[in-house]
Amino acid sequence: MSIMAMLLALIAFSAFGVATHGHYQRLTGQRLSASNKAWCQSAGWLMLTLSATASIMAKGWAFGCVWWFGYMMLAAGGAFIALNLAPLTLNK
Amino acid sequence: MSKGIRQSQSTLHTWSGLLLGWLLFLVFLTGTIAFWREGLNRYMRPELARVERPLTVLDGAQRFLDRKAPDAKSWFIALPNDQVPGAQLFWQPQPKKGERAGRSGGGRGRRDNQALIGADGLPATARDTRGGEFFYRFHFDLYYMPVIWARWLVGIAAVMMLVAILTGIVTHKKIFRDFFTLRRGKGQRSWLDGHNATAVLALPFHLMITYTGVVTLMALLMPWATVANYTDQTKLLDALFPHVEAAERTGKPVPLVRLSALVRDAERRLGGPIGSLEVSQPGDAAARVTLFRSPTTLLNTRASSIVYAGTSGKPVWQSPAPGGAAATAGVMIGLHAGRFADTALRWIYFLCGVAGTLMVASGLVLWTVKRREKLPDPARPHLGFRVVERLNVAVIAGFPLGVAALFWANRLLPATMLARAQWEVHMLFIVWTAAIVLALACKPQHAWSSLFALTGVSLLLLPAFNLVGTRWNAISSLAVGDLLPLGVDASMLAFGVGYLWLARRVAHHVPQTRNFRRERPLTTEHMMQEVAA
Repeated sequence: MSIMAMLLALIAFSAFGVATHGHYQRLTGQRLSASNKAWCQSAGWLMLTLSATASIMAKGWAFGCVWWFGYMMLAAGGAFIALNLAPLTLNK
Repeated sequence: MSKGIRQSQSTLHTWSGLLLGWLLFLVFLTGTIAFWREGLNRYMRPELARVERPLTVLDGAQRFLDRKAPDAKSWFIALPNDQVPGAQLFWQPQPKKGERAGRSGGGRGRRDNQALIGADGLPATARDTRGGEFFYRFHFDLYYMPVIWARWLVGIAAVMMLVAILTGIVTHKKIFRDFFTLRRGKGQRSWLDGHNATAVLALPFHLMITYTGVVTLMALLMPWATVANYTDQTKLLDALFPHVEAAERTGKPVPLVRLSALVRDAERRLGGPIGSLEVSQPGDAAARVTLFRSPTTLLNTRASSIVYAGTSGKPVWQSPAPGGAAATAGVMIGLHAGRFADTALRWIYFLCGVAGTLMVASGLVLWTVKRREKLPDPARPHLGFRVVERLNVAVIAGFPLGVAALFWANRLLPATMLARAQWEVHMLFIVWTAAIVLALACKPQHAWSSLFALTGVSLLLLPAFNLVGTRWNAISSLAVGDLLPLGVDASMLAFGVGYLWLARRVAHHVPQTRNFRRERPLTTEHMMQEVAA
């Protein structure tokens, strides 16, 4: 359940990252449309909520919240590194 | 209007960050290392075996104290676990006639009143070192100065940090929108992106650690609430740390029950592992044993306790549930110190601390990067600029070299040396002083790269030295399944490689154009890109 919470947070922050114009353009070669942006972001928020639920289910309220913040920071850092330093492109 | 506010916040952010930034760098760096306080206590005493059976060690501690200090006023035993080098114990002799009773009278800090019981239950002889405790204490007490001054300084720096974080959120208004942006190789822009990334990615941590850091010092910074509510100091202590007063010695000798049996019973009654215990008037009919729950399983650091009669082993008192204010403060301090954190969560704490340290460092460097382009003559900057630039080198590159020197001193100083633990610490400051001299004497670009390179090489060689010079190292640790030495050595290697990379980057950095007016910062702009990641 803890691993699940971490993975969900990672997916959430990757979605947030992809939903920025610069990264979307680099990854897909296309402009980010408003609807795609909204899609990615709401998916991100949903994943983040699920991640919180999983974390609290795994560790209880007090520790679950602390861990959830930990997962979010790790995931944000991981997504940041992947998006900025990994030279990956799709559809190019 | 809005611009006016942002401008004022920006000024506040710049100056609150700069003036105490160097101190904050030291506080962040040592605080980050101090998350591994217990681990380093063990790492820096490689003679000692890992504790496998804590209660055997406790029995050994009791036997030792029975022989060594049978009529002491009190014993204090910190229970070992597999993270710590053994059971640390102190005893307080009976106060002599005319001597002031209480904590200051017995001299808890005196060296002849403490011992370390090793994994086999016998008194251990290890090299004299402060281990991870040094980083923990330096984090708020600094060194070579009265503790009270240091705490005021660190307290003010922490408040400034809070100001810098909050104004920073306003100043760098786009940080949330530009969350994932890192523009590489673009000078000031890259620095700013890096500074923002280290700040925002771990923003919950930064806010938490700074706010709770101020809370740990709140009684010092804002004593009025306690002064207004508690005229009597002892009443305040009773409210914060509920306890039973120690009884007078009756003079009737009665043997003490087995402490390890009490530990088992107390763990059941308190619902969690026991961290430490205190015996008052051991070996007497009035003996009392207080057991404290370990803060490793609680958010609140002010753990509950239970008192037993030392002669019968019957529980006589249990601490009441803490009040709202005490629980809040306890939880905040718990969050700050992360004592509840297991190894995985501690890594998250540590990485966030590294991000915080980089945030402070990049902010300091950013001050010079921003101003360099506006200098009338970049070849001859004004005095203020040169002071900041060189202090940055002295602190950001110099202090880590000092820390590396401390680890080397821990391995190399002879075990029989007088005041060995103090000399380990002196070595940090001697090497740091040398680094400061170098930073002031050389051109910043050379000073940055040579200090980074020296730090990198020292950190890389340390695990290699452990392989040949220490009984207990990465390979032996794998063999017995004890991952701590391996983990510390691997971290040293990682940081060593990082520092060498930085050194190379700075040394090979050539300004992009020869055109004087467009010359880019000479020193460190590129370092940030790696650092930000």
